[in-house]
Amino acid sequence: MDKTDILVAQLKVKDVDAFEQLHHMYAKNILGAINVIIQDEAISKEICQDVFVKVWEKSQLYDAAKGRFFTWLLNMARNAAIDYSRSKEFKTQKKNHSLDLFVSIYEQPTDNTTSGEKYDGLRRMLKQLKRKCVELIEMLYFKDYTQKMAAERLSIPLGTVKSRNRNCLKHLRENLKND
Amino acid sequence: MTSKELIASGELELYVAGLLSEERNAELAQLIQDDEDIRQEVEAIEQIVMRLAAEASVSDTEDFNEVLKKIVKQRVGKVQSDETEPTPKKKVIPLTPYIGWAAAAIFLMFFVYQYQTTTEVQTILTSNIEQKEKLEEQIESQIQNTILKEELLKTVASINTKKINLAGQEISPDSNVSVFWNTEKDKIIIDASQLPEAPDSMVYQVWSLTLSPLTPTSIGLLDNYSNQNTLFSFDNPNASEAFGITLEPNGGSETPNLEQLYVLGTTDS
Repeated sequence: MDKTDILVAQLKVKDVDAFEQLHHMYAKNILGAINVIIQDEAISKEICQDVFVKVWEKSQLYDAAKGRFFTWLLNMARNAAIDYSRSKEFKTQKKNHSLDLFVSIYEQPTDNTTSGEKYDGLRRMLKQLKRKCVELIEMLYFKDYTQKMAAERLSIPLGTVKSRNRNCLKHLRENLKND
Repeated sequence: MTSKELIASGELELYVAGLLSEERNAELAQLIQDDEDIRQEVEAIEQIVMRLAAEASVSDTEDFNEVLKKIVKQRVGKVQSDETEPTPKKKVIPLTPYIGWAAAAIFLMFFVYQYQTTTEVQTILTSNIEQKEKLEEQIESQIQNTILKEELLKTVASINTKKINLAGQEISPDSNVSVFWNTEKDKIIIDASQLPEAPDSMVYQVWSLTLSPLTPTSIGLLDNYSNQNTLFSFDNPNASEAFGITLEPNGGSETPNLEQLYVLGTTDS
């Protein structure tokens, strides 16, 4: 059992300290995952809080045999953000909302950006990848695309989704290791 | 498939994305436990996805207290909405002019009751000397209850008293407790007549809660709680934002056991 497993076990018996530690470990990632879809700081924060309320209420339903705790959180965050993005309220607010945050950040010319700017860290990570990798990673981890849906949208065979995703993430990992 | 082949297949990346079948997830969860290389690979994939996600967050997330506030409010709100009848328009009756009359009526009822009880006790005392000891105990308890009732009347009649309703929680939805909080004298009186009797070796413990940060402070125990003894008085110097009552082992606990949370209510409700 690693540290996360112990904290999750404690969360299931409603240990507030364990819950606080898990919040500290994952809130930034979950907020980011929501923001990829919502692209609004205040709304993303609200949704992130609601996701953690749900984590507390539904912790009994998490089953390690069905996947990683992070995957469970990510899935809840994606669903909450997508539900909100389909609301009328959101649609009227977001006229200039770019559909794909990763791709739009990737396509910004480097000359126009300065260090410390919004999404600077993300931009530097994505710039190490090819466009097709950025698209695929955003679809599989931060949108609700299945392998099949991603294959259709990118017009590539189903098997290629798996191998391309592996190569893209591997490339990113190796580059970050050398940083 | 060897672990090297599995790692090279790209399946573990899809596992972290949550895109595999339930059956395959269960198989991989077992392999992760058994094989160190696979476990490390999955953690490395997770780390890179977590890093991408963190870089897409734009503000700080040190808002754990906000999450706790939402949890408490949701719990209280859920119970209250379950209890509330669907009355679209509620007529608001100002209570202030009636408090004096209500206090007077309660006083009157109380004195009639006390007179009857005293007369009964005297009759029994003279006719049955063997039960003297037992009756003395009952009288003592009656006196204590009387003092508390007087205190309750004074507290309720005071303009500085808030009445807070603590609604029954999941473990005991029918429970209901009234707290009368005199904020000037830092005193609370609890009417716990709608709590089930505590089992042997357990005791109800009253908590004052502040919400940011969520801090429970024990106010005291409902010791000797019984059908006859349901009024309790405590000092409460805390800036309470909510009150709750949990069932704890005899002697009480340092922190509340939320699984045994019987009633809860916020002071602003």
